[in-house]
Formats: sequence, structure tokens, C-alpha cells
Amino acid sequence: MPFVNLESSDGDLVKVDVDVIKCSVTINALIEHLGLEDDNEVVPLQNVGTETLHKVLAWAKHHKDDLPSVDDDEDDPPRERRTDITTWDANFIKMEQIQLFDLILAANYLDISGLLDLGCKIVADMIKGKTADEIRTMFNIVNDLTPQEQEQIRKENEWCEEK
Amino acid sequence: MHPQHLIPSFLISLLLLNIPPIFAEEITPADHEPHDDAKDTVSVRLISPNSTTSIKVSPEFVQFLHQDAQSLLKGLKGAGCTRRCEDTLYYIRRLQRENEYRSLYQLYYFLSVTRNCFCYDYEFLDSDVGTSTNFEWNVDTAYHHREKNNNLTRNNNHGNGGWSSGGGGGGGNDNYYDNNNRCTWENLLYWLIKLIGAGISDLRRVDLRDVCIDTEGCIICHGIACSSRVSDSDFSDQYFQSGTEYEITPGGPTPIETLSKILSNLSLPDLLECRLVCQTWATNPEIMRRMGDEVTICLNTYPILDKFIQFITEWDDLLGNNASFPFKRFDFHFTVQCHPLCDSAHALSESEAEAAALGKGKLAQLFQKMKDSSSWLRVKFLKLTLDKTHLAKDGLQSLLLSNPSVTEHLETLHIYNLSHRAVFSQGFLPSFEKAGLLRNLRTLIMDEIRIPITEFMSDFLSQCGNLEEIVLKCDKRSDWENQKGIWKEHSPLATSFIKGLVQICQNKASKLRVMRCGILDLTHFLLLTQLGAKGLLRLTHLEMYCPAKDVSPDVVRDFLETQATSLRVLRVLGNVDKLRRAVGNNSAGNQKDLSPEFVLVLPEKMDVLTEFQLSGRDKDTPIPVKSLCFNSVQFPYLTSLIVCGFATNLGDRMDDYFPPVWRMMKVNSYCGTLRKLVLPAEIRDSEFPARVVQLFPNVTELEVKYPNSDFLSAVFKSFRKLASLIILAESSLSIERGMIGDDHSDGIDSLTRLKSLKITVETEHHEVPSALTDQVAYAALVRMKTLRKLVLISCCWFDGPFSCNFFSQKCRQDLVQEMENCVIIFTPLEKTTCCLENSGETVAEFYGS
Repeated sequence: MPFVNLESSDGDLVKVDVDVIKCSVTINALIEHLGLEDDNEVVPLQNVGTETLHKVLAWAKHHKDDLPSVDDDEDDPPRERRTDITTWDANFIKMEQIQLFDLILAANYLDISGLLDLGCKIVADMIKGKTADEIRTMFNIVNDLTPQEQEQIRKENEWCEEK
Repeated sequence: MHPQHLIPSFLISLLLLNIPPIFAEEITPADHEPHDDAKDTVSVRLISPNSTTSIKVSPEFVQFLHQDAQSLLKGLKGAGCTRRCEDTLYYIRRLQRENEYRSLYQLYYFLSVTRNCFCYDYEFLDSDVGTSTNFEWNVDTAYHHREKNNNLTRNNNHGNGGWSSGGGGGGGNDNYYDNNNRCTWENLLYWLIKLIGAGISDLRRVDLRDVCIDTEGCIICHGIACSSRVSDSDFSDQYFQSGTEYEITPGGPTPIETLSKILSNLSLPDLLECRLVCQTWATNPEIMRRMGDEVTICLNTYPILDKFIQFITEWDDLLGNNASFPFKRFDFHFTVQCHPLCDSAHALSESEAEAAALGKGKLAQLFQKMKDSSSWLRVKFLKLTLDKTHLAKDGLQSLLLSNPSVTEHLETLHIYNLSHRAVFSQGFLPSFEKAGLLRNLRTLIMDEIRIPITEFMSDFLSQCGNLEEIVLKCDKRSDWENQKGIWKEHSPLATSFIKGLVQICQNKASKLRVMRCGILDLTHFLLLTQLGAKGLLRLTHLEMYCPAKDVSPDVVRDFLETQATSLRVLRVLGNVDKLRRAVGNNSAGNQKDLSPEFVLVLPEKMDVLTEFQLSGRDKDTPIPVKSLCFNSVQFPYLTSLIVCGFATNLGDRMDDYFPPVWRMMKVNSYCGTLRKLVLPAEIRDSEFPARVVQLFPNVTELEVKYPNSDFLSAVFKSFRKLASLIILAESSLSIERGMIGDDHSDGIDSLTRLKSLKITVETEHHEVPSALTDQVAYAALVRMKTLRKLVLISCCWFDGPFSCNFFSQKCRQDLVQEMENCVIIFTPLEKTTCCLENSGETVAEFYGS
């Protein structure tokens, strides 16, 4: 069974079954186009720490045998798809906020759409129904809007509520 | 012909797609030596999911590229480039020369530093996204913007209305232009990078695939349509430092490129609240796009009109050209008697006249304000509802054709009820002095128009030379059946449009690709056939109703023959019996006068047809068909077949829709390309699935309606490749035995590839004990290890979906626990599409409610 060696930004090497990591478009493309046939080849992942890499691989391993997606709900508006989280994924994604963001960054870097979608849906669920103040507190965001700008945004938002 | 004459302008347009980014990797010889000659060269690869482009260049050249790109960034910083533009797609042609690569590398370097890059090479885009004609920007529009920026000047020597750079106007960028005042590929990219760096707020798509470069490496023809806005206050060094990969939102760790993805999962009300979080979120492109796409400003009363005028006046004063106006969809809907668009064509009381004058004054004020704001106000969608009133003489003219906010940006126009006799008898429709004003209009929807407007249509069509889609609708509330005489004589809307089309297509092929219409009569088909035969009409999508009585099968087939090489989607909708009775006869109740049954005969070969649909709703009776073979000769690319109606009403026709293989008596007598199949309702013949799967052996998506248990069992035995299954059942009892199976080999759990299952159980009232019993869950559903999505809907015939009554509470909990890899959605409380109808869009509703 072919393997590929991944090197995390912490310098740790992780040997991974190619079948597991093929969900990463980035690594899959590297394997396909660069012919990483030598077991000693190392793929450096400068943006992914060891802990996050293990998380990514755990997700990838669990979803290794997923069938290609069917397009049955492509027409659904995104907001109606946000509940599409399985029990396993919901348990998997329970982690500290900082870890969650690292995971999202890694999924983005490695181009793993399923994991990226999952992370984004979870963060979206965290935002859903919250006020701007609550969102700022939750993500530690500084409000750099002036009162005038906020008033202007509110005026614009009012038109979105007109029927 | 020289290539320069074949290639249109390069394109910048608006499009937001969610496609994963390209990955670019450099490999130095020391790191990697994958090729024989790697010792002397560096292989630089642009890799996309579907293809790769590899160019080998020397290490010195790469070093040069690095330095050059870094110096470029410094230059950009000095030139005041500040923000980036997220979510922009960059389409780049296949590279051929080193100097092209050099510039591309600079572009890529810049974008990778700012991490806002989605790049795809030519081949990937060409095959996956399709041609770019939908998004072509008109050169004249480009000129308008360029003139304002004073960067490019017209060069008449290059033909094709093309544009090349003019020296001296770029403010310190003179060295971007060559001595002959021509714009090189490199110059173009330099300029483009500068635009991107300047943060073009509405730049979503950069398409460089069709840039033509002559033998001297100069751009022959391009057009650019965007405006440059630089905001010094947003300048930040972090974007220009090598190694900076993400923009950090104020105080938060979320990268900008994933912020949009996160926000895309939120509803609009949540997004609006997010705008109040911080500057970055307030101007997030995903939020702005959603506001532009989903919010329609409906101006339907005078107070709202007043409020809107005040709003855009304040907006202009406060923000003007420095920000992007979020709204792009407008609905002018005045249903009051004294319509502001209305002339005093009829006697008005004093108060009515006063109100009318007031309304017209306000509308004139709005139009003027829109003109004044045309640098930032962009009307992309406009619905014009003209209920029970008359247009003022210059109403349409003022709104549509004299207003840059509209003319330069309008993409979709929906005109409702433009057919009052007084409009024509009193000459209120405008005469168009110039042609081609609505050059960006792609979709025209004409709704509820019952008298001929041929002259207007031909005139109007001349205004929108790039029209790609026409929708001719009739409102379902229409009393059309009482006006069948008018329909019989005129079919006025279709007649007007088709005659107008013929007039403007005298010598020039129409760009129309999508046509959705109602009933077409003989004249219509003959005219369309003429256009098609001359190569002036090439439809890719045709949606029509059962033809009128005077249309023979051969006429329809002849027309379809002319479209056989281009037509990808064919939908023939409507209830054949009802339509032909009403349209074809003056005395609808006289059974003797019923029109003979129409039979749809398709051409022997439809080269590119991928979707074929017969009837839009189960309560309709689909048109009978003849000569369907479904083999690789007739439909080499058919992937979707939808046949609605009740099998019990179709009788022998079922064999026409799904011909037995033995009947076809031909080699390759099956359709191996078909993936999606929607079967008619209430099929009871348990032999049917085995027969159909012979015809379509590779179906992965199946929809069955009102089956019984025996039929379901037969489906599970026959369609072993199913990945998606939709079942619409009339009661739990009707399918339960079939779902579980007599033994473990023929229940639904025998579908080992099934990934998505949706079951809708219909009931007459809410009080049914359970839509599906626990036994189905424990004996069948929990055993489906490949299932990833399970949707269960309880639906009342009268009230639509209602709260779930699937299974007992304990069973539901067990199900969620056991199926940990499956998303389980019970009856959504949010808006759900009616399961009684096919999901296909129906455009011409001829039936009263």
C-alpha cells in the first residue's frame, strides 16, 4: 500500500496512506504530478502543525471510503444545507475555537473541501442568531466601525427587510 | 485569417464561484529532480484539480522573476495600491512564451502574497465552466470606463473595436507601454495587478483566456470594464510582505478567504447583523454579493418612493464613489390607480389628478437621481409591473433607455403586463432612435401580455443585441381560457417575439440560447425553422408547451432538426389533452371537435441533448412520443430523463416512453449515459424496473412516485447502482413491506451504493399515527452503512409539509445514534418545495388555481 510522508510545520514526520490523504486536492495533485514514488520523499506542510495534521488525518481516515458526492441538493440554498452535519462529524469537530480555526486553515491549505465545509458550517452555526456585539466578543474582534458607519449600515439593512 | 481577427476582447466581469484554488509549487533542483533535464532547469507547475501546466525555466530566470515581482510590489505600494479583492476568479490562457510566463508569475506572486487567488489554466476552465460568452463585456462599456480613468485610448488601427494602451496617461506607468503605443501582455498584467491592488470592489472575474497576442507579444484586442478606486486609509504593509498568507480580521484568527465561505452558510438576516461587526465584515464580498442577488428594492408606494430617493441622496452625499452600493435589483410596482408612470389618459377627479401629478413628479425625481448616481448605482435586475395603468409617453424611455444606471448594467428585465390596448392605441410605447443601448441585457421575461406587440418587440430586441434568454410567461391567475379566441388567433406574445426575432436576424445570427415559452402555433414553428435552417438561431435550451392544433408532428420535428446540434435541454410541458382542447377549438365542450392527438417525433439524432423532460407535473398528461430509441445514436449524451404523469393514465404509451429493448432491434439499444431518471407515478408493474434498467443500465439517481411494495422491491433488485433515491409515497403501508424486503437481500438496504435517500409520505390530514413505523428504521435504514443523507418528510395534501411524525421518539434517537455517518433531516420546518410537483422549473402556467 503506497504511503506518503508529510512533514508538519513543527518538523514532525507523519507517514500516511495515500488512500487516506487523497481527499486533499493539494497533496493528491502533488502525488499525481510529481510522482512521489520514493518512500523517503517528504512533503513539507509549512502551514499545518502536528496536532492539526493529526486531526486532519483522523477526519480523512474516517471519510476515506466516502462515495463521490451526488448532486441531489446542489440547488438548495446554502443556508438550507448548513444542517448537513453527521453525528460523527459533530463529535469530531468539538474542540477549542483556536483549534477549530487551525483546522479550517489546514483544510483550506490542503484543499480538502469536505473538511473545510464542515469547519465553515460549524463556525457559521456559532454566528447564527447572534448580535454583532456577541459575535465580536466570541471571536475577539475589535469594532472599528464609527457610529456614523454603523448607522449607515443599519439604514442599508432596513431596505433588506422591506417586502 | 489572422488569429487576431478571431479572438474577442479579454474579459473582466462579475462572477462568484466557489472553486478550490490552484496550487502552485516551485521545485528547485536541489530539492527535487523529477525530470531528466532537471539539473539545468527548474520545473514550475501550475496544478489544478483536472489538469496541469508545466513550464521549465532556468533557475536564473526564476531568481529574476522573484526579484522582478518583489520590485513590482514595491512599485505598487508606491503607487498607492492597497486593498485586495477577494473571491476573484482569474482565468488565464495556456502559456506559450517565457515573457508571458514572467508576467503571469508576477500576477501569481502578487496574488499569492495577498492570498486571494483562484487560478485555473485554460483547459480546465474550458471544459468545466464552459465558454465565457455569457460574461463578455462590451468593448464600448470598457471604453467608457477607461476613458474615465484616462489610462487607455482607442486605437483604430487594430480593428475589432479593440483597445490598446496609450502612453502617458498612467501617471508614472509610461514604461508599461511600448513605443508603438501598444499594450503588451506584460503591460496588461502590470496594469491588471495595479487594479487588483487598488481593491476593485466589484471585480469578481478576470478572464484572460481570449487575450490575443501577436507575434511581437502585443495585445491585439481587449476590453476592460471596471473602475479603479483607491482608499489610502485601507493601506497596510502586511499585504506586501513575502510570507504573509492570510489577512487577519481585526482581533480574530479567521482568514479572509474562509470568512466568505463561512458567511455563505448564513441566512440573509444573519449576514446583515454580521455587517455590524467590523469594517472587514461590513464590506465582505460574500455579504455584498448576497445583498445584491437576494434583495429586491420594491418601490410600490409613494412613501417608499420618497424614502428611497432620500436614501440614495444621503448615500451619494456620504459615500458616493467611495463605496459599492449594495442593491442591484429593483421592482417598480405601482398598482394604485394613479400610477406615476401614467398619463392622464382617462378622466381623473381633481384629487386623482393631483395624486397622479405628484407621483409623476416623484418618479421623474427618482429617474433624475438615478442618472446623477450612475457612477455607483447599478441596476442589474429590473421588474417593471404595469398593472391597470398606461405608460406615460416617455415612461419606458426615461426608465430604460436614458438612464446609464440601467442601460450599462441591466442584465435581467422582467416586464409584466405591457399589453393594455391604450398603450398601443395612444402610442405610448417609445420609439427607439438608437439600437443596442441595453447591451448587457441577457434575460428578458415577458409576462402576462395578451395582445400583439410585434412592432415594439422588434424595436426592443434591437436594443439588446446580446440577449441570451427569453421567457414568455402567462400568469396562472390569467383568465386565458376565457380568451382562447385571442390565443387561437394570435398567441400574441410568442408571435410578437418571434416576428421581432426574425426582423433583427435578417443577416445576423441571434445570440439567443435559451427559450422558454408557452404554446407555439404553426406560424411560430415555421418562422423558427427558417431561422434555424439558416443558422441564425442555435438554441441550447428549449422549454415549450404542447403545440397548437394546427401543428403537425413533422413541423415540430423539422424545427428540432435545425436545433439538433445545439440543443442540450428539451422540456415539453403541459397537459396535452387540456391544452389542445382549449387552444385548438372554439367549442371546448364539443367532444367531436377534440383535436387529434399530437405525437412528438424527435430527430433521429440529437447530438448534444443531455436532458429530456416530458410534462412538468404529475397531474398533466405528457405528450405522446414516437420513435424514441434512447440508444447511443439518437442520444449519445443523454444524462437525464424526466417523464411525469400517472402511469395508470398513460396506458400503452408507457412502451413509447420506455421502449422495450427487444422492440428497438438495434445494436447498442440502450442508453448507457443516462444517470438521472424520474419515472411516472403509480407504476404497479413489478416487471417494469427490470425492463427499464436494461434500457438505462447506469442510472444512479432515481425518483419514483406512489409505488407499491412490489414495485419498490423490483426497483431495489434492478437498480443496483443507485446513489440517490427519492420516494414519494401515499402512505406508510404502501411501501413498508417493500422497504424492509421479504428477506435481507431485497430490501432498501440491498442498495449498497445508496448515499442519499429522501422519502416523502403524503397523508390526507395530520393525524396519521406514523408516516413510517419503527420497523422500517430498525430493519432497513440502520443497516444502510453507505447512506450519508436521509431526508424524511411528512406532507399533508392540503397544508403541505408538517412536523415530523416519523418513528417513535426512542426510535429517532436510536437512528441518530446508529447512523453516525448520516445526516438525518426530518420534515424541515423551513420553507420546503412542494413534493407534489417535479422540481423542474415551469414557466408557462396555463392552469387556473
